[in-house]
Amino acid sequence: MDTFEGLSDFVRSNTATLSRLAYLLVGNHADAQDLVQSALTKTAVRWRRVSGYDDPVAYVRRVMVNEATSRWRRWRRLRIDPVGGVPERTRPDDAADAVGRVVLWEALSRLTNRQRVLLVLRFYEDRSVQETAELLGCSVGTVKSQTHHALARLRAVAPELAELEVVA
Amino acid sequence: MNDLRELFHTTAAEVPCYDVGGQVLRAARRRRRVARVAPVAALAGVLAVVGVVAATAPPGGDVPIVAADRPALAVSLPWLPATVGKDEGKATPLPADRAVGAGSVLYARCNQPCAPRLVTEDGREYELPGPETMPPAAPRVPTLSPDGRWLSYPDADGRYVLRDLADVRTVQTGARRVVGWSADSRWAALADASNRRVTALLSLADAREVPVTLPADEQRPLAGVTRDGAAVFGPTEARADDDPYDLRIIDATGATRTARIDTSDRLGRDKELSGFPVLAADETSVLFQVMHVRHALASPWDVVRVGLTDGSVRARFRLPVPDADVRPGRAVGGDEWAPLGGQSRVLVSALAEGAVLVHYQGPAPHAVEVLDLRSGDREVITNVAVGVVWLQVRGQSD
Repeated sequence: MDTFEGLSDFVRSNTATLSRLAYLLVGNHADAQDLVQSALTKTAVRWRRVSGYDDPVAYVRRVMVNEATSRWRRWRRLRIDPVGGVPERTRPDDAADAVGRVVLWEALSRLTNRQRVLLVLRFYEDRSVQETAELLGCSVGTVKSQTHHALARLRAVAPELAELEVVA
Repeated sequence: MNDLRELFHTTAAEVPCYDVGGQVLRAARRRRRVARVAPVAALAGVLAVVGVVAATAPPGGDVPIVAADRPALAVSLPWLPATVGKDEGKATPLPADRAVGAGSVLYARCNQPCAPRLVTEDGREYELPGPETMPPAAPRVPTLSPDGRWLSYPDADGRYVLRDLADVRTVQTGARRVVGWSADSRWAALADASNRRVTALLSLADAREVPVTLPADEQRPLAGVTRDGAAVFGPTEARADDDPYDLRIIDATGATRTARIDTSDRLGRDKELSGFPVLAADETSVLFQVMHVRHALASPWDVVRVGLTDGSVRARFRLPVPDADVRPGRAVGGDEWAPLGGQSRVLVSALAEGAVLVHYQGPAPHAVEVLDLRSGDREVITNVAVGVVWLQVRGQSD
């Protein structure tokens, strides 16, 4: 049996979903692509075992979450661009909603890795507190308190978000 | 409006599907091949290490730690100004029809969009031309050769130019920009501007190009270029946390060799080397920074000097403990890792005079320091004025 049998199909059918999650976890395309590639490579190396799981995608997601919370390991030398450029992300320019989203997106980039990952799990993946705690390897109480702190920090770094609404 | 769920889903809908399938399969197959030969290699490695340690290791095997806290009186960098960024007035555009002399530092005061300035050895300042529009992902970072003679920058059309500042000569490098230099300023490493991937070395004397080819699925930062035209690359960015550091060296004939460095058990708890080494000017060693970890965040700390041939740690230069809050942030012009608070020192280049460090306070550069690699002495050479948001010294790679 080919060690990587079925892997190509798995990658092809799940990369789009994983790409979206990765971008939300790390906030920029370069690191998001690295994150997807790294997580899928780790999965591929263990593919014979992972392919037997009920939900192999859950394994990849867990790897991504773990990597995203410890991204300092891939710390890069500070690179900045002194002469301007086009923002990496497409931003609609014709609505107050769009402005609000930009403010919120900027504020998210000021959170710690762990806080950002926590919010993505809770409010994008709609994970329960229990599931989030299991994924992050912490207690339910920690998830609750960290969610509170993350939202408070969002409001603190961007006063425009004082009315931030989160329907838990 | 400010609903997190709405933001996440709206944003996610705009994310493209990253085409990584090919790289994943190639990397997995390569790792599998490595795993198959690992037991044999490990046995050979253990035997070799036992032999080397028995023959050469000092008692205890500790890394020599040098406190870099005395002034570096023996080091002189007269070309660096005492202060950068004091002049807030308008600078003269860099003239195309006359020489301006060697450059010493590049800096920018403003957030985007604005043009960086070149400071020359005689203290004059020139504004660099900047493109009005650029591809979104292309970094637009000008760089100066170690001798200050050559400047790589994007022109008004966004095409890269290599300018001889001691003359009016230019070399058009198009969509490729310089991301590194040899210590003698004889070679410039050209990389695709959009992805920082080095594709060739350019001989500055005769504009001859020597292709550099890394395997397609290897992403490695350039550590430096030797005087005889060998490119030294840092560890692959796909390196697992517990993997040793493998440096790749490609010489002028295209021959490749690997230097392995594993200091993970010598750095102390919650420390590891950054993935961006800098080739020392003596070309026999590379410099890393130790990452100091607090609360799952890391900031750059000590400088470690490692032998390029045997991977041995020669010295660890003890710098003040950083308290920078390094996290992915929106640095000026792009999403990058950036210190948002506290202070830290970042190793930016290694010149013949010593290693150059930029002392950051928060996200802004505060001072330029030199670290004498012979004595470990350290000195502030240049103070950076408040308001400067970006700075790059001679020989600094991207």
